[in-house]
Amino acid sequence: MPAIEVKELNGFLKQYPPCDELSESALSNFATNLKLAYYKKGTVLFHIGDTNKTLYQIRSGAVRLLDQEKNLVSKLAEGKYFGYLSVLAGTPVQLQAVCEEDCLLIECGDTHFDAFRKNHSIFEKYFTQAYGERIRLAASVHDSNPLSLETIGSKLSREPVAIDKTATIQEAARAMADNNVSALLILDMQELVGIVTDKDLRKRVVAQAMDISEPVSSIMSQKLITLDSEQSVASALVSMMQNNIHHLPVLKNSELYGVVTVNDIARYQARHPVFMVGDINKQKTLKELVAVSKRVPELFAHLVKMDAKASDVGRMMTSITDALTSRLIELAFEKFGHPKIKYAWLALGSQARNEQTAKTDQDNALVLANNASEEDRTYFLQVAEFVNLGLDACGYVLCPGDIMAGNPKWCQTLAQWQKCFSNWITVPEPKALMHVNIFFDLRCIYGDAELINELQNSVSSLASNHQVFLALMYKNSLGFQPPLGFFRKFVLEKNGEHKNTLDLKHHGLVPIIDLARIYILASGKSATHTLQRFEMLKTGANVNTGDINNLMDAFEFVSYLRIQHQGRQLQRGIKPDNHIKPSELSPLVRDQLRSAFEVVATAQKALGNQYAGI
Amino acid sequence: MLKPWLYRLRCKKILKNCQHDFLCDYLSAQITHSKQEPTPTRLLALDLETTGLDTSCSQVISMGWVIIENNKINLASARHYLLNSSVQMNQSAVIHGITDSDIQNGFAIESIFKELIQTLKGSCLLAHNAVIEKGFLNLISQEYFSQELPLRLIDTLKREQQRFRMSGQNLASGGLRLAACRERYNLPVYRAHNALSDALACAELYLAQENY
Repeated sequence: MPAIEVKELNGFLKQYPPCDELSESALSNFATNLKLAYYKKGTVLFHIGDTNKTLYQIRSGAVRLLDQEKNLVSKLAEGKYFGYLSVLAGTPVQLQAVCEEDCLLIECGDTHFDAFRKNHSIFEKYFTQAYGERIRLAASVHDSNPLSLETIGSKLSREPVAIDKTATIQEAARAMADNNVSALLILDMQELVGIVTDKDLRKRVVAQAMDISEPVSSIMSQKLITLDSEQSVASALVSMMQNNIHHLPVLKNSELYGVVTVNDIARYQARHPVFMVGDINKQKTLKELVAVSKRVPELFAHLVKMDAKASDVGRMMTSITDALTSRLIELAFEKFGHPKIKYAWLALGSQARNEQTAKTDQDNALVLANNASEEDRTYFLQVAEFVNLGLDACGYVLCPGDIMAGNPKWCQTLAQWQKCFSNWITVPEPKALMHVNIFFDLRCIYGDAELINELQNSVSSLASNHQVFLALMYKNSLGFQPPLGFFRKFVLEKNGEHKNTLDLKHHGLVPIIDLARIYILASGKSATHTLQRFEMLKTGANVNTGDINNLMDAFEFVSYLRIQHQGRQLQRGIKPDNHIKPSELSPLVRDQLRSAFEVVATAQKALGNQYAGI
Repeated sequence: MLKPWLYRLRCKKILKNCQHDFLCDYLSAQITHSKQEPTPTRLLALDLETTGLDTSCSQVISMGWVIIENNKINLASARHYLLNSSVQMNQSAVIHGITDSDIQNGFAIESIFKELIQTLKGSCLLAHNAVIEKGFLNLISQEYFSQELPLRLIDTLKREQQRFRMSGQNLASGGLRLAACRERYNLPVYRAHNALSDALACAELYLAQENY
């Protein structure tokens, strides 16, 4: 029996996307498997928390979607689809649907919907995009920030000034003077190979009384960090801060385009963290450092007000913590003498992940070379104590769990660390693992990064082979779950200081951070930043890129809500925290937050299936 | 609609002397269903296009139907057939847009009637101004089975009429036409005029009436 076309209905369907793009035969195929139903005004089609297996399209009439508090989220007219979110996600519905008028509704069952999406990419794209958009829209609100929108290419004040690497130091200096630039690019056969700055001339030539007829290549910096002209000004700033440099060569289509300097950007953004990092490096005493760090909350509030992206703010705030830590270590060396062995100062947790905000405590550790003597250890504990107390004075309160380099337990040789990690991974103990989670996010702040690379490599190859360890990590991560109750209501804190609030950090971000960590450990790859981890996982075999994108969007969105909340608190002179009152959020944002939590809950469940048998 | 027990009685009577297998099938299903279901859960909305209203000198030229199950119209059940008949199309072609050559290439009425009876099994027949559908179906039935076809009939026009009578409101002239009825229930305007779209229009009207 061939499909019978109902002309009236096909004509109607064809007026609206995505059916307007379907071929005649595809449209008939879609239409013949639909149902029609009539609902009187006031009929509730589904309640929040219901299971829904139907995609609806309004043939005539109007439908209202309401949230938990009966606020109107949207009003849908003829031709509009609804109900697909719950069908796509397979989760209970998040909004109530009520017929505003008498309605004739076209209904598409989930089996037909799924099968049809599979066979028609136009259809699939339309609905999955609409699904992702709700969170993505929320995550992209900061796109209005001019700093993150403008490209570096538009900020260059002049053509690049360059010289061949065979030129002498004097010729280079003259070229810089003639062109009045503070940085000179060095070329080898038109290929960019290095950069020389005013500072290099001072430090490497004048201060060392170097022969100025030597080739300029002998003093140039070779490890070049470059940017593409299409990248944002904000990304240039982040790069400068992270590397503490003030000049960045800019490429356009892989060809040399110019140099962007801190001053180029400063013209647009006078008060900026990049200057604070420089300030920190100039301070000579702890007292001075404490004074500079007083500006950190103000800076944070400023960044939030600028509507910067949460991931950018995290990186900028972390750069400042890094700079303070490094400077404190240098001050400690001045006080207690310089170390005699190789070592590495580790940042753990949020600092390692470049995800710090306004409210932060410190988590750090020390790795010493294997030849460390008892004397070396005593020395490093002294240094660490100085740094720990210094950071505390600067506003980075002592870690309540005592995970700090000044704790003899966390100031160990590389061999001891390796044994430690190997114990955690090969003979994992659930309780103990809970406390060491933080050690799996680590980054070298100061000292010999080689020591840590070695440690990291052994950890990632070991972890990916130990399913029991990964399963326990997963089980522990379930300690923090998205705060959605059975009926998809927010579950609020019940007692204490933060009664009736949502804990955005522990119930929103920590589950995502944990997921990224477990996935990356399981993959045997290594990355520290949560978004970077997800980015890296996209190339993996057994993860769905769409799911990863949704998690990344959810992460950026919740992070953004958190820093906005903390920014508001700082402005009102309140100590920043992670607890937000749902009543402070608009219905739309509440809905988006709920979507973000849904994404996380779904991902947690998906990972759970993987470790179900263990 | 006939009282269920009376209807069952009539079906049983015909069933006794029935010699056509698929008619027997139909009748026994009608008996059990009308017993089990005080309110129908399955209806077949039917529309016939004819050359005229008088059964004695007119012929059916097309049939369209669609099934309502559990208060939802199932579009997968939609059918539309042009029938092969001997008549010459005169001015009714203007209404239906069906030409003589369409009719020559149409289906044999016997096979379509058979399909209709099989689909109608265990269901009520739904139509707007159902006397027409009833009259023509009986005519065809007489021709092939030499007897009347027992139908459980629901008429959306009669239901609408009743509703007005109950409420004591006055009905404007032409107010019982399908399109006019639909308008009162906020149903979309149908421009196409063929057996299937009219059957669908009637089915939608029924669902709307059920809600009031």
